[in-house]
Order: sequence, then structure tokens, then C-alpha cells
Amino acid sequence: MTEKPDYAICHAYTTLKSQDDLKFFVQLSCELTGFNEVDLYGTGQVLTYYQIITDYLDKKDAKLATLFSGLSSTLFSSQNETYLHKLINGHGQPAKVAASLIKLWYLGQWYNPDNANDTMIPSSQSYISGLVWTAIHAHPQGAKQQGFGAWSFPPLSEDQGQA
Amino acid sequence: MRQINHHEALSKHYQIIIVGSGFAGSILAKELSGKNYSVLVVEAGTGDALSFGQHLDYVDRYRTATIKIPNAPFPNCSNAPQPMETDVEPVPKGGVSAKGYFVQTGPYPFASTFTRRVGGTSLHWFGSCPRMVPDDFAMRSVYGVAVDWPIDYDFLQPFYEKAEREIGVSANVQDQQYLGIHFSPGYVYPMERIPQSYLDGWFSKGLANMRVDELGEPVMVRSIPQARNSIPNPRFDGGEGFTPKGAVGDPSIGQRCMGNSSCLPICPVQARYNSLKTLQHANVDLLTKTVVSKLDIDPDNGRIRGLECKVWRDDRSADFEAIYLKADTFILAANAIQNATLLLASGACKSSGQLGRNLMDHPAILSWGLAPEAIGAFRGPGLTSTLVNYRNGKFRRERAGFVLEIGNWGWNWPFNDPNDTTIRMIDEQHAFGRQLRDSLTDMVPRQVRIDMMTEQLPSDANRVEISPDWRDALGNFRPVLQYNVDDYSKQGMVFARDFGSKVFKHLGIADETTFDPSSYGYFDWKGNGYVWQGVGHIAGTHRMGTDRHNSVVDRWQRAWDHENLYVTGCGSMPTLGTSNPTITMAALCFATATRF
Ligand SMILES: Cc1cc2nc3c(=O)[nH]c(=O)nc-3n(C[C@H](O)[C@H](O)[C@H](O)COP(=O)(O)OP(=O)(O)OC[C@H]3O[C@@H](n4cnc5c(N)ncnc54)[C@H](O)[C@@H]3O)c2cc1C
Repeated sequence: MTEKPDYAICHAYTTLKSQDDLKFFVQLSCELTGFNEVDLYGTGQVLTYYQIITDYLDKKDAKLATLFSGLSSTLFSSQNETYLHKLINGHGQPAKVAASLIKLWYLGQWYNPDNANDTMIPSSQSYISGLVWTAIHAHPQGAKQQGFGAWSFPPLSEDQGQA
Repeated sequence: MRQINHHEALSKHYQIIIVGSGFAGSILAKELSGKNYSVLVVEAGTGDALSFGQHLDYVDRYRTATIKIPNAPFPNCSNAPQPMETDVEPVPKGGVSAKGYFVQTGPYPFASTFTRRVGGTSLHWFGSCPRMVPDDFAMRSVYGVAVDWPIDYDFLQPFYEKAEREIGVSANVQDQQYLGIHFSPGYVYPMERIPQSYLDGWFSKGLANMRVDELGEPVMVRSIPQARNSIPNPRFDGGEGFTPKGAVGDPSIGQRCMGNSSCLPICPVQARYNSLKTLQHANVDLLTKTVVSKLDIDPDNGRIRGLECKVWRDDRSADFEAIYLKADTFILAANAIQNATLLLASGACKSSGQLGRNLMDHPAILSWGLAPEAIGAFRGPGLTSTLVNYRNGKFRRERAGFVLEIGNWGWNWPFNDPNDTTIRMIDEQHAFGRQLRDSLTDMVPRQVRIDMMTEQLPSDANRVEISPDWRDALGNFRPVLQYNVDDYSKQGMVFARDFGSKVFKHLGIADETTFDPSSYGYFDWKGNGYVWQGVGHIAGTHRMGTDRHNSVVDRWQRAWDHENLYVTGCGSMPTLGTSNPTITMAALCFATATRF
């Protein structure tokens, strides 16, 4: 198990390489998750996750911007989709890193790209912020209570749920 | 309740010592101290009984646990060890599986667990509180199998009412009057039933025209009584009403179930009952981190003279101080497996030869699938309704009864969902971006899981034993378990699974169930594979009966062999029927309290 750093006090500002780096991380995260910048910043997890991925890549002397250098700066373009599709269906390092990053955003849980058994949830907040709960029109189990009796009402229909 | 240290405990004389602070221990502590007895509760595990901060720490542990098993919020501790679901594995033929606390000798592993901490397993139980059906108490007379209880439904009736008040059960009487279950005139539960889930309604509507095969009757989907706070019933207690019990340490919250969808393992607002709600109001002393290791028995008259205990300080060290606690009367409430282990370690309760035997659970068989439309999975309490037709019937001569539970949390059981599905989409389908999001939106809200919780009959061969070869860090005996699931239950499960498939078909649910041959509960029935799973209903190890030759305790849970010893909990139950056992066990404890 990786030792769990104290993400509650986020050191990301000190490890922050540059604003450009962070911007790239957020854009890549949007492309990989299907959620927009506001959604991602709204989780409060951007800096924590940025630090996790940077810590991991630093040990390998790698950089996010290099691994995904074909990404254009237009958000959610079909060009980006085709590019990522190819990368993710490949077997290289970018595919593994992308998969871990998607899981981190969706589940609030980090899986070491080199060893899936090496996993941790950085904090209660990251668990609660998992995007999966929004995607499935529910709420994180054990948080964001919906209120007495909410469960007896019909679930959100698909079009109501679209962002 | 006052939490004290062992120096103070040793300096005082107590009339009654209770071992364990779960349901049985807490209820008896409150009842007996209410009758002005001086009572000490001795608890093996650690914990601060009144701290809301500690509860929040547990919630935090749950949220950050990468595997969300029932014991996830409650750390294991080597001085008062507890079984963990993650330790359950197939038992090698002729060998043992001992990687967890239990020493499993097979042929199957015993798959259910408990918690050893202040509050016991009440910290993580689910909260389902159905009564037993009257025939459950007379399996031998009515169906020619197993044994009869020394008591019947009507004996227990007034004690059920007391238990439902103390635990705070939400239900409507008219929903619960089926298969012979009846109530005293004018009775109402303390709180109105918990609203049924959208899924329950969808099931009821979809199954309205379905008939139950051999019984030829319409299906009965009924709200299940639950120990979670709902709207108080103003007609309760002859018009006195009922005040729900909120969280221990912060009663302003938890006054209603707020839909946190995590009753098991932990309700963040404590709208789901735990035994500390009872213990906090008991005028008793509580001594924690004190493991009772042995009862000291007077060889002349069988009376218990005292308890040999080990007081530990720190989980990182096996250092302990040995103390000896005296009282007039002793009550074991350490749960079915620990009660038996302790009595075996003490050479107690030998007359019947039944001690440690008849270990039971409710083996459950699952079916899961995808509904044709979103049914709102992962919202609300985990279980709000059950299909109850097969809880009783003539078929019980040959095969086990079962209750069909309609799960509200999709494939959270048997998987770790929604995680597992998400991971599968990412790793296997290489989904990402909008497509991943849409796939999850489409699929997970359609997830349905039912489980058929099946009766297990008592058997001599299913038992708790001890051996000098197997001890824990403090040198106390570990439970050595022998466990099998017999053809009566297997036949019940095979029928139940088939019935579950019919229900799915009727509702247009695409069945996605698979039974993995490497699972601990795998079995073959006429060429088809099935898997059962444990559900935590540990019972039967010190059963009650009519005399010292057929049972360990009498109807009041008093040990036949030791006149100042009571052995309480689900271990006293001679048979288990198809109901979650705690409300019945709590009723037995209220009956016990009348002997004082
Ligand atoms: C996952 C799960 C879900 C469940 N859901 C339900 C449900 O929905 N409905 C239902 O009816 N039942 C349910 N149960 C069963 C229920 O939890 C038990 O029936 C109940 O906890 C038994 O109560 P008890 O007081 O006998 O024992 P416990 O609650 O286990 O308490 C025993 C206490 O004794 C202490 N102790 C043990 N050994 C010693 C010793 N040697 N010295 C001192 N102290 C000791 C323990 O530390 C513990 O605190 C569930 C169980 C599990 C595991």
C-alpha cells in the first residue's frame, strides 16, 4: 500500500509546476470524464488529484502533457475524442494513466496504474465527490442525504438528468 | 451509564455482571438497573459509549475504506479480535482456514461476522425487524422437522412489543398481519412504516397478477419493519405517542431516516438503532477493554463464583492485567459464538451435550439483473420490502422456507457497486468521457438485486468448539467452527432461485446472475451450480428447551446447570425461521428481565 499523504492539507500549490500544467490537467480530466470544468472544480478535488497524478508521474520522470501531447485545446471536440479513443484502446503508458485518472474522478479512489491492488481513497471528501454518483442520479452512500422518503419518488428520467 | 476503570470496578460490589454491550447486554443493563440492581457491563472491545466524535470517525473510516464490508468502519483489534468478511474463503478438504479470527474446519466456512467494540454488532447491523411466524416456534409438531421451542408466539407477544418500543421499530400493523402473525388489540408500532421505495412499488405493481405456484395465492410484497426512525405514531402507547431516539451524543440529528443509503455498515445520522441508544440511559457502570476469559464455577453447587478477565490497554501490545470480578448473578451477552466459546473454555453447561451445537445462519441465494427502465437503484434504506409468501407453508416438511428481499442498492451486493461496474466499463470496454457517463446513467439506475434468505435447521454437526492449539493474542480461545449447509436448505434455495427467476421474467428484468464455482458457498444441485452467502444471523449455540437434557438454557435463558447464570442472545433460539433474529432475541431478553 502506498502511504496515504495528508491530502486534507493539500500541498498541490507547492508542487504546482505551472498554471499551464494545471490547466492541461483539468482539460484532460474533462475529456476523460465527460464532465465540464465547473463540475470538476466544484468537487474541490482538482488540486488533490493533480498532486496524486504528478507524484506518480514524477517518479517515472514523465509528464502528463507529453503523454497526451496530441490533445488540442478545444474542449470536447471530435478530434480529441478520436485521439483519446485510439490512445485508450492502446496498451501504452497513456492508456494506463488515463484509466487510473478516470477512476480517480469517478470513484474518488486512486489505483496505481502499475498495480491495481495498490489503491486508496485520499479523503472522505474525495469519496463523496465521486462523479459516478451524479452519473447514476443517486447520491454517495453515506453522504449528501436526499431526505426522508425521497427514495419512494420516481428516479430522475434520463433527459432531466443531463447537464 | 458511567465508563469506569478496573480499579473502580474491583472496589465495588455488583449484584449483576453482564458480559457484552450489544443488543442483549444493553437491553438487560437498562431493564435490570431500572429495577435498582447494581450492574456492571464488561465489554471486551474498546470504544467510548457516548462520543459522537467517535461515531464521526467511524463514518470517515467507512467513506475512505477501499472495500466497504460491514466491519469497514470498525477496526479489528488483536486483543478482542473479530471475524472479517474478507477472511472468508473455501476451506481446503481435510484442512483448516484460519487466516481470520475464526478457525474454519469446514466443509463450508461460516461466513457471518460480528463486531467486538462498545455497542457490539448493533453498530453495523441492517435494522430489519420482522417478527417470527407462529409456526416457526413449533417446527417439530407442525412440520416434523427440527425441534419445538419451549415457548410459543403468544408467550413472546408482549415482549415483542417491549422490544419494538426499545429498539424503535417503524411499521404498520396491517402490513404485518400475515401467515399467522398477530398483534394485541389496538396495538400500533412506535412509528409509521418507513416509506417503501419506488422499486418496491414497481415490484408490487408488476407482480399484481402473479400467482405463487403451489400455493395458488397472489404474491405478498410487504413493507418490512425496520429499526430506523420514521414518523412517530400518535396512537402509540394508548395515545401517548413516541419520541424517536436521535444520535448518541447529538440527539438533535437522526430523528428521521434521511436517506443516506448506508444503513449497513453505518447510518451517518444514527437514525438506524444501535444499542448505545439504550445503554446511555442505563444506570450502570461500563468497563471496556476487558475480555472475560473464564467463568469460575463452584464444583459443589454449579454456581458461578466469578469471572476471570484480562484487561488490556493498547492494541499494539498483548500485555494485560488479570482480574477477577465477583457478583451474585452473571449474564452472558457476548453473542452466539462468543457465548459458546466462553462457556466451553469454562467447562460450563455440560449436561445436555448441546453447548456449541446447532450453529445456524440464513444462507442466502441471490439473483441480479437489469430492469427495462430506471428503477432508482442506490437511493434510500437498503431494504424496505420483502416478498413473504414462502416464509411458511406445508412445503417446509421437505424444504426450507425463505423470504425474498428486494434490495434498494442495485448490485452493491454481491459486488462492490457502483465501483465494480464503473471499473469494468473503464478497463474492459475502454469507455471514457461522455460515453462512460451515459453508459453509467443508463445502466446503474436499472440494477436490481433480490436475495432469498433461507431457513437453516439446527444440526448437531454445525458447531463451535475450542482447542488449545488455537488462541488469540491474549491467549483466549478462538472459535473453531464446523459448518455445513444441508439438503433441506439447499433444496429451499434451489426452489427460491427458480422462483426468483420467474419474478424477474414476469417483470421483464434481464437476469445477469452467475454462480462462480470458486466461491466459498458454491454447490451443485442436479447438475446446476449455485452459490449461497452468509447474512450475519448467528444463532443456536446454546439453545433453550424444556429440560437440562435437551437444551442449555430454559425459556428464561437461564443455564440449567448454573442457577445464577443467564446465557442470552440469538444462541438461545432453537430454530431460526426466516426472520432476521434480533427483534425476537430482544424480546427473549425482555422476558429474561421479568425474572429479576
Ligand atoms: C452484516 C450484518 C447485518 C445484520 N443485520 C441484521 C438485521 O437487519 N436484523 C436482525 O435482526 N439482525 C441483523 N444482524 C444480526 C445482529 O447483528 C445480531 O443478531 C446481534 O448483534 C446479536 O446481538 P448480541 O447482543 O447477542 O451480540 P453483539 O451485538 O455481537 O454484542 C456482543 C458484545 O459482546 C462483546 N464480547 C464478546 N466476547 C466477549 C468477552 N469474552 N468478554 C467481554 N465482552 C465480549 C462483544 O465485543 C460485543 O460488544 C446482522 C448481522 C450482521 C453481521
